[in-house]
Amino acid sequence: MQPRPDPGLPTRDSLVSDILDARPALGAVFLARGMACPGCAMSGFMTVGEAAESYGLPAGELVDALRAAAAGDVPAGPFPPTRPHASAEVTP
Amino acid sequence: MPQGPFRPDPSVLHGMALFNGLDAAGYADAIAQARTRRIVRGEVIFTQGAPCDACHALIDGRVKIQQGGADGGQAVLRFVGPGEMFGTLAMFMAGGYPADAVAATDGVEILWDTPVLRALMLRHPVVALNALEMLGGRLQEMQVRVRELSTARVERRIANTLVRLARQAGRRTEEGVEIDFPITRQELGEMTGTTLHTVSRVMSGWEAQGIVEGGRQHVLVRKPHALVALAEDLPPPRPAAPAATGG
Repeated sequence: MQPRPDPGLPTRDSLVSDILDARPALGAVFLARGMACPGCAMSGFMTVGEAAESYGLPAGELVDALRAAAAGDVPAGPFPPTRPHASAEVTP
Repeated sequence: MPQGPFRPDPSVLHGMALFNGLDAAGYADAIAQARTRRIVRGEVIFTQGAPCDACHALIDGRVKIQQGGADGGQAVLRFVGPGEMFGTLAMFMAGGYPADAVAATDGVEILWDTPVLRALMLRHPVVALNALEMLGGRLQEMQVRVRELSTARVERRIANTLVRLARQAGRRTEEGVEIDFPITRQELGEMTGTTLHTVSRVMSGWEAQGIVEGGRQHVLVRKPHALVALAEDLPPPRPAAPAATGG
């Protein structure tokens, strides 16, 4: 029984801030996708899945990239500018 | 006598806002008082702050109007094309030309020295009225822009305050991030240096967009990311985003 998923192994339900607190280097994965998550006040309230949804990005791909980076495959800069967020309600 | 590489036909003035409503004799007078000049790409036609000694219009080519900021950066204000006037209203401004004009291509311009144009306005008052109309249009543009800027600033301040409150006292719930202490719109207004009325108007707009939800003393941030985007001036949402299912 675990209240939160292990922050060491990123999942779709991990809080973004938990992941970044545990491994700050993973911030590069967000930046490489034009996501403004590192340092964001709301990163403690959003899961990886929700953050991906906000930008209209596939959550599965983001989780895979975070896991790859946790295993050492951290993307290098320069990073693109922040991308626009997804506008409409996210359809389930 | 007109000077310059050639004497243009009065028809080049047709369509120029300054000369709307002139009769044929007026057009002939206006063209007789003008000079034409060839300009080469990259040439600086006038510079920001220089006294407005002439009013310009383009017959051929393209001219870039740009303004230098205190930080040394250049902001391009507009591109002028054939038939358009530039540096015209500066004759009514105390500070000289408000921007630089640089030829973006080779071309030909037609210009009137400021005293000549003043005399022309006295002979043909419709030209002066046209100038006033152009000035009025510019003023209106400016008022809209100022309103947009000040509204955007207030929105950003309110968004920033809510983001700060969420960071400090936010609680994650099923519906979003709840700011976990009672706060009224009046208090939000005081925290952001604006009025209850403005906070209500801005928050109602956000409620309609599903970004926040508020009761009398309670704020729920339904779309945390959208609020951050407002606070940080991140790029606005794409129109008609394809259904993002989150993979």
